[in-house]
Formats: sequence, structure tokens, C-alpha cells
Amino acid sequence: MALSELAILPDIPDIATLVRQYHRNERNPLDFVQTLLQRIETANTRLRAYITVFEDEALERAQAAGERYRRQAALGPLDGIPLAIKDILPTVNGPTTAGSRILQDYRPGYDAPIVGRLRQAGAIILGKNNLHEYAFGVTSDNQCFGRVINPVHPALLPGGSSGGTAAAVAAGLAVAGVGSDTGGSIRIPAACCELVGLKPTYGRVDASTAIPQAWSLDHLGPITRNVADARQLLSVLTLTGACDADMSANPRADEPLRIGVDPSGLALCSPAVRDAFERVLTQLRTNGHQLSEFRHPDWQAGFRAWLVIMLSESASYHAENLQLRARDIDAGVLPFLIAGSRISATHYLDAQRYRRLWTRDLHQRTQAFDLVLNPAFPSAVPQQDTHDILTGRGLEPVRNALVEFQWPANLTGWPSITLPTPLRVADGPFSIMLTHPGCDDFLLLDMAERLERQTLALLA
Amino acid sequence: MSNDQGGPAAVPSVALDVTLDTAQRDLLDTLLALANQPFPAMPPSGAGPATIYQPLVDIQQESTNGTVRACHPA
Repeated sequence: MALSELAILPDIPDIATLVRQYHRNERNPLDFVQTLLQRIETANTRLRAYITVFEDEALERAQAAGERYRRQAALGPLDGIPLAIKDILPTVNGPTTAGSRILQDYRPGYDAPIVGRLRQAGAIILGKNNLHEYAFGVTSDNQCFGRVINPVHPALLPGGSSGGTAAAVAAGLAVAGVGSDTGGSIRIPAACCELVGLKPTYGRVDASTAIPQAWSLDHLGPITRNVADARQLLSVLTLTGACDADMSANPRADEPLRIGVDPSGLALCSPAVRDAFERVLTQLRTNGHQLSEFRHPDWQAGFRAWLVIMLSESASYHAENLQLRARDIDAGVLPFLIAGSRISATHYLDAQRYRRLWTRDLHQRTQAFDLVLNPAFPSAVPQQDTHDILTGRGLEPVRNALVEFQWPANLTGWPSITLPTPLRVADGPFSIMLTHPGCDDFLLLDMAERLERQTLALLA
Repeated sequence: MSNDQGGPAAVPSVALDVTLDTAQRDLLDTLLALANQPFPAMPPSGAGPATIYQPLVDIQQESTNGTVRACHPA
């Protein structure tokens, strides 16, 4: 099977359709899971999307799900839905490697709380995905488990750090997946692989027991083919049991959206990205939405706060690894951990204090908007093995370019989602990013669904 | 160590069992130069304590009301 034939297979329906088919006995979970496992067997040696595959367990759970549907006793909205999870999430069976040599034989023997939630809702965990080592980069080129390949655009980066999860979903090796995001690690690979990536509000999804990158910036969330599937997953992952997929807190469902755009952000974009984003803005105006300009607070200082927090918390978690196992840490990750170990506690606390002021300031500047809109990246999606890429600042390291618009939502904790568009930049995908300047994930999903349906489709 | 005194003092290096190559040293130097710049002046009490580990979602309110509400994290 050629890589180009693997991407976005039309025979994978959305979650609601699958569940409907299960209920009507038009499809059964066991056959479907067998199909996906065969596809993984065929494709994974090239894509390197999975580190571990739970074949026997998945088949057993699929059979049980089929029996529940026959008895009309489905467990929940994900019963029989095959999912992929990033290999930072502990599972009762198999290793939890975090993509690292140090943890390659680590077997926690328990499920992370959100894995338990997924299982209780009937989801079938097909396996655990490859990633940038310790979730610490944007390429998902892993020294132990190989380089993840982008199934939609094999010459381009799959993005990271949740690159294996995005590759698995894009290639139809899972219906949807769960990744983690500390500075864009859900949204970046989703945008590279033409998927939807949702970083929920900080604290909405329980990240406890996941191998951390930086505790106060880490988020878990879905990578899916469409917004509706992201909503289904979030309704199960979310900490409160009160939310369900049909719930909406949106009082403005049919009114024009008030959208904030920072023109200084556009100045950071390459000309091709600016052109594509302008087309999106024009379509939004045509659809009657209200676009207004605003300015972020001090962009560089905000970025430094995110950087200091990320480096310091990472170095804290990895202190023992740094002292005893530095040789086993990826050469590209090691300088970040060393840098974090050389930041003082007072400077870290200053970063946290400044984070609070920055967030408060941004909230005041954006509170009149329903959402803030950016391109996902200021550059095209980079080719594999590219070190620098063109942005509005000139050539920049790929790592810096892909994180450029991502970190604010990790610093503030606000929910943020990337949506693919039909537009192309340098023959690669072009995605936009919506951020809700508050904490309402389901309102953000409502708005994303409106744009997905009403605006982006018109750009084709 | 305050913000108006030119940034934080150096922290002693951790002893490592590896030697960094040139590219790694360059990256490390770049990261430290960027990270160790001081933050803009902050009012003595204006920023308050850090918000580490504080979820931004009001779980109790959602559980009680059955609705998702926007909350103000700042």
C-alpha cells in the first residue's frame, strides 16, 4: 500500500456515524477493529505511528462491545470506537515509554485516569503512539522508535510532539487519538496532517500520571478528523460528568461571531501564509462575521515566561535523568533540560507571576471577542530534514516557527483548536487556529464547527 | 534577584557524564540568553502567587449546574 493511499481514508466514518452503524447492526466493532489492526500491520513499519499495539486486548474488547450493542446495552458514546493514545499515558498493560530510551522498559501496571474514562465509555485502545522523545520537540523524529512519517504529505514533517497519534488518525489506523500539548504538541501535528487538534482548557482533562513535560503547561486532548469527533472525545475526557456532546453554552449560535485578529501576528507570517490567512478573513467577512484588530501584550516577554516555565519544570522532572542518564537522552532534547537546570527558582517564580499579569492583560484586550484567530503557523509546513523555514522574520529554526502562535494558549490555559482548510501554502496544508479568550471549550467547539461547516468549506 | 537588577544570577551547572557538541552548546547558550532576560517590572503585589496546579475550570459549579461556564482565569 503506497503512503499516499493511506491518508484520510474515506471508509472511516465519524464517531457518531460509527455508533449509529453499530446500533443498526450495519457494522460490528470486531470486524472494524480487525480491519484497523490489519492496516496497522501493513502500514506501521513505514509510518512508525505506533510503539505498542494491543492486538489481543483490542479484539477482546471489540467482541465485548459487539455483544453489548446486540443487547442494546452500549456503555457510552465511544463504545466500540478504536482509539490511539500517545505513549506518555500509563496503561495497565504494556510499556509506557514516553518515546525514550530511559523508559523503554517501564511498565506502570495501571491506567491513567483518562485511559480509565475512555475504557468506561467503551473505547478500544488499539495502541500507544510514537512521539518526539519526552514530548520535547516538533519533528517526532525519535532516536529509539524511528521517525514518524506524515501519511498525508510524506515529504513534510508530521509535526510533534504527538506526531504518531496524528499519523495514526490521518492514515486511518485509528478513528481518533489523544495527545498532549505543552506548547502546541496536539495542534502542531494535527495541522501538519490536516486534522483537528484541540487543546482544552487547563485542568479540564485530568493529566495526572501522564509522563509530564511541564506540569503547569501540560494539557491532554483529542486529535480527530473533524470537530464533531473532538466534541465526542472531550465529552468523555472532561473532568466533570455534566457535559455531553449535545450540550452547548452558546447563546449566540446564529449571530455573527466577534473575531479578534492581531495584525502584529500577521507580520510574523511568510507572504504565502499571509495571503492564505487573508483569504480566510475575506470569507469570514463575506459570511457576516465581525473582525476586529487587537494587540497582544508584550509578545517577547510572554514567550520568555512560557519558555522559563517549560524549561524549569522539565528540568525538575528530569533532574535524576540529567545526572545519571544524560547519555540516554536525545541529543536535541538534552540542551533544553540543561538550560532548565540553570534557571533559578526566583526567576521561575517571576515567570509565573508575569504569566498571571500577561494573562490578565490579554483577557482585558480580548474579552469583547468570541474568539481569537491565527494561522496555525507563520510558515509553511516544513519539509523533513529542514532546519530553517521562511517566516515574516526571515529564516527561522523550524522549532521556533511551529511554536510561534501556539504557546499563548498554554501560558493562559485557554482552549485552542486548529482546523484544516482547503487552502495550500507551498503545496502543503494550511490550518487556522481558534482560541477562546476564557475557558469555555464547548463554546469554542460550537464556533469551530460553524467555521468548519460554513466558512472553510466555501474556500475549496 | 529582582527584575530591575539586570536579570537572575547564574545557577551552578549540573555535573554531566556527556560532553555537548558545538550545535548543542550553541542551542544551550541561545536558550539561556533568552530565558535569563528579566521580565518587565511587576508591581510588588500585583501578580500574586503563581497559579500552578490550579485548574481553570470551575468543576464544582459545573457539577452543580450542569452547564459549562466561561471562567476568568486571571
